[in-house]
Amino acid sequence: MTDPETPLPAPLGPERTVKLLDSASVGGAPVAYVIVLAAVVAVLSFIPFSVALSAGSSFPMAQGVYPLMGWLLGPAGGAAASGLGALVGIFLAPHTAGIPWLTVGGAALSALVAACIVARGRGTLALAVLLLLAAEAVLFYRHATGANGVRPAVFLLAYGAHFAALALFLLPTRRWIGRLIESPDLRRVWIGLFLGTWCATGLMMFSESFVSYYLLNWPGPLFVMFIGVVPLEQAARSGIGAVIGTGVIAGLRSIALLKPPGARY
Amino acid sequence: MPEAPVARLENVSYYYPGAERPALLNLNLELAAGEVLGLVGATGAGKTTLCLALNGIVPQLYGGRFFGRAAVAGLDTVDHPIHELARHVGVVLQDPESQLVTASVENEVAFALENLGVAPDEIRRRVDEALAAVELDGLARKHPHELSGGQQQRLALAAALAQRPRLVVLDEPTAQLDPRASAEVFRLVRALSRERGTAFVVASHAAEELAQTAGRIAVLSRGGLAALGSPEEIFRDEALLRRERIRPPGVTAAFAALRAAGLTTRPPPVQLEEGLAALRELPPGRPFAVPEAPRDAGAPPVLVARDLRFAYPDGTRALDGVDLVVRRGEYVALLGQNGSGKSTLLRHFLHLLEPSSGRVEVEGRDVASRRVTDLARSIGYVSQNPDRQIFNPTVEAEVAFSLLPLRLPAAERAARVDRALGALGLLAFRGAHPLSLPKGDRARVVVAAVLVMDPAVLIFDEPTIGQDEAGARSILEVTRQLHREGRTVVVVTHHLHLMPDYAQRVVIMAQGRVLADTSLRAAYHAVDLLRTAHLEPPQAALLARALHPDNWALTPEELTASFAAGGGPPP
Amino acid sequence: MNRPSLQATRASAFSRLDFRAKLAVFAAASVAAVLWNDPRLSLGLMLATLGACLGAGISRGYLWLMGRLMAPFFLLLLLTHGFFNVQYVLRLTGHAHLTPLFTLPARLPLVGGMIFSAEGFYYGLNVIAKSMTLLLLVPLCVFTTDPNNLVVGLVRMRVPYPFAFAFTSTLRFFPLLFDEVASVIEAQRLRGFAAEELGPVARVRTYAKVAVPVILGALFKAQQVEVVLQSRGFSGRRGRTYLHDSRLGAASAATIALCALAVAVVVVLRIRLHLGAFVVPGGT
Repeated sequence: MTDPETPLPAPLGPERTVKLLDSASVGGAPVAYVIVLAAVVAVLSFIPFSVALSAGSSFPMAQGVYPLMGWLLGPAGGAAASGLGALVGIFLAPHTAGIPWLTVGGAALSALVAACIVARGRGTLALAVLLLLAAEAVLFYRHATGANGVRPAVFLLAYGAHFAALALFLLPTRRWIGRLIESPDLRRVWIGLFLGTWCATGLMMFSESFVSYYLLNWPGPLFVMFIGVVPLEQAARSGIGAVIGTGVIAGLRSIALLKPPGARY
Repeated sequence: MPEAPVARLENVSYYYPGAERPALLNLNLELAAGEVLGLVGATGAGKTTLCLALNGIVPQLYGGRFFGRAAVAGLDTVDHPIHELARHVGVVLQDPESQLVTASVENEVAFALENLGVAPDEIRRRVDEALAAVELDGLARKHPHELSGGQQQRLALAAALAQRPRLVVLDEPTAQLDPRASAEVFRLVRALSRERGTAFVVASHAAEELAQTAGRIAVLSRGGLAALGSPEEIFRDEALLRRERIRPPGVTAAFAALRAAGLTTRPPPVQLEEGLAALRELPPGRPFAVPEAPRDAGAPPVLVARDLRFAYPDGTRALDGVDLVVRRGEYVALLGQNGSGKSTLLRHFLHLLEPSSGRVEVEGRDVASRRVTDLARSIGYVSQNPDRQIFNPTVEAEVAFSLLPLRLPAAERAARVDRALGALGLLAFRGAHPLSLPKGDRARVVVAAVLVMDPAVLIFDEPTIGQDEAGARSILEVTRQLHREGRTVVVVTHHLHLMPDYAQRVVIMAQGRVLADTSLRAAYHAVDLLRTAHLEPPQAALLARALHPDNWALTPEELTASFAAGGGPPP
Repeated sequence: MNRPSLQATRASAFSRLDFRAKLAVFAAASVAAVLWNDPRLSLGLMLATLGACLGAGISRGYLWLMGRLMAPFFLLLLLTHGFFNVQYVLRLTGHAHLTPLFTLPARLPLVGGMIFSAEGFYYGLNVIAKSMTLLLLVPLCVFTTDPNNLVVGLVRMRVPYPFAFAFTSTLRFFPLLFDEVASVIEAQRLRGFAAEELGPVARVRTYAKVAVPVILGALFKAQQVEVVLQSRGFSGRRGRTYLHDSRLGAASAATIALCALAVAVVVVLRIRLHLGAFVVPGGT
């Protein structure tokens, strides 16, 4: 649609050394990006979505988007955007909030985990997260099976989807998923985002469950219910994350937007 | 000794990161204290980049390559940090909503002062002063989202003024405002420039307002300065205007046409008052009528509203007894300032709203019995922000998306997609991401996505907003093409000067009521009625009416023809 | 979608407290909610929090909405604990057997003969009260605070200004993005898509496609917002001043002190005297 243009003369003035702005940021991500994306997360918290009932409530669409914040803004910026958005979302959609500060922490953790699922770098952060999650897994298992008499097989099956997420994060699959997300082929991006969202939200839900369990101590038979429900919900979250993430990344690659430092797409 | 210029650009060139072509090229410009400089040029000429170069955003935020020197208040914009430059330069951008970042009006004005470390007492003084200057005092505790678009822009101006800058840069400040709000912003700029001695740079397509407000106008073209002069010098240079696709004020275009026809030798005026006074030098006016195709009263109605009333949950009465019939094959322009009820009326036809009382019919059936998704096949709707209607990663996928609910065979789906892409000249872009296209082309993608459903009626909600003249005409040509195919077209717009080339009929709304439903010519001739709705007819129409009460010319060409015509009965 | 309002409708003694004092109340009540398993104490705390919300001017409509939306979840919690919480409550109470409140008829398939226990019921009540308290504390502390004062309060607590600003600015942009999402959903419907009529997989795709233009549009806006912030001198440097300052008045300081004391008392009594441990009221 645009006309071809003739060659232009060269600049006459001397070239200047441009010092990039050292602007206020949240973990390296420009504050404006954190603000606006947090507002998006807050709004998506208002859209309940569930393919299966989990503990009697639906989960918000925002849960599928928390990890995307990590890939767009980096670990600290992503955690801030997800956490802030979840906090504002709690006011508006309490039926999806569960325990408020857990929801906020979980959202931030999800973005943090996602920001570690990259082709290169952030190994130290990933190790710290892994240690935290491993400790939670051990304590959770002991409390459920030891103190509350839940059968070990039932516990492992109930959280099988989340243990799969832990495996994806622990093994070299973490780097492989990161490479898929940065691939120019959108089909590979979709697969990477599906697996990455599964990993990030799975670890988020596991972490939240661990803390909730110490507070609420739900009985053994509920774990049996989780065996069927949890993988379905994980699949829904991962599907949402993959569809949204692929659309967003495809769009971002096509338009000349200022790319936040720490973004990996 | 003359005062030092407020801003000086010396051979400034700029390339965005990764760009092969410069956004600014060898710009030399000086801005005097208290001056108002207008910036004009086609979309992509570099106006926004220049505006942002004046406060250091370019290049400090974007990076890229910068050449030459730009200085404001003596400070080099490359060497001095932006927060230091912010003491001397205030900025107002195009989108009212995006530039308000706090949760109250007074905090919005105070924000910059807090960042600059101004003492709290002084902040309070300046906040009150700035709000009074823009006539928003009394609204200090309101949430910015509760303000109208015009009020939001005035608030952004107040926030800039509170910094007590020597220069305020306004980048298309009225692009998204209705004519009344737009006029208020320019009025404030004139008053503040006079009273405070603040210099202003205003990038805008609003030629009439710039002619009244700016002391000089700079024409940008492909990043360079194509011309610099007084409004008279710039807007009278027809070759320049044609080359750079700039629309002059209506009165200038009208007198240029009269001059070309040998009816006057005076240089075209740039302000309406001057034009009205210059009419005395012309031959005496006479009645003038343009024959119009009669409305086809026999065509079946496609959109009907009968005594439609609607109130929002908070009690605001948005529609107060609207009666409207749009017949098949018509092209209707729906006019009115923001808040007059235009969009609310259209949303009823789409069944997005339920009336408080009254009846709404589409193609002879009550919409109450029809679902939104079904109506979407009869009425194609293109909103003013095409980006909200783009869901897919390629143009082809976006157009095909509309057909998914219809579950058509693959071959038919592909054929319909190809037809729609071809009709809108998008075949070459089928694999491109819609967002990588310029705004005008993105609008075409949405039109194609709507057209593929083969609707009989098309509604365009403010399709020309934020566009330059060429972009606006480009999208309106699409509406003309669709109308010629036999579709019914309804266009909501503030660009009254464009409508004579397209619409036959006008519906004017104000305060939830239809003020007038008549031919376009009759509506534009009823100046007092238009002004009641806070609309202003094209300047050519005002000149025609001043020439003779029964001169129904609307454009410069018709005005010229009215002198040659033998007169005739009014329509 | 109806956009909810986030502010309390009237001024009150609680709303006049400094934000730091409200956070102290939040912290103290949260500690008590977590530590207490006695259903009487948990319910009492919940009712006190609810009373505080009403007294502070939180909209009754909002509180009713919260209760209504959480009711199914709470019912499920009660039934779950009543029927299935066996080993844990036996360990907590030291009882050898559960005390049945009622037993389902044996002829019912699958669930016939299941016992709903008093211990499980009271534990379920405890969990419900705990959850509700933690939920109510958020609007109590945030809805009663002017967003402008929120920033200053957070900064006075040594929260870095960019982060404090990000929080309140998110509240500012929320209505804008909310309207954006509503417009996009509408745009989808106007293209013939009604997500509620689709199967689960198609519904995921359709709903998810709403988020794409919203997020991309948000990133465009973010770039504009960044320009605005920088143009107004936003840099996160020291020396920033505030139009509205946040000073700890006597009431706020006293509130903080009381809350600190309350936390200490709750913790000590819980550890030393087991006050707050789970008991079945009536001593069964």
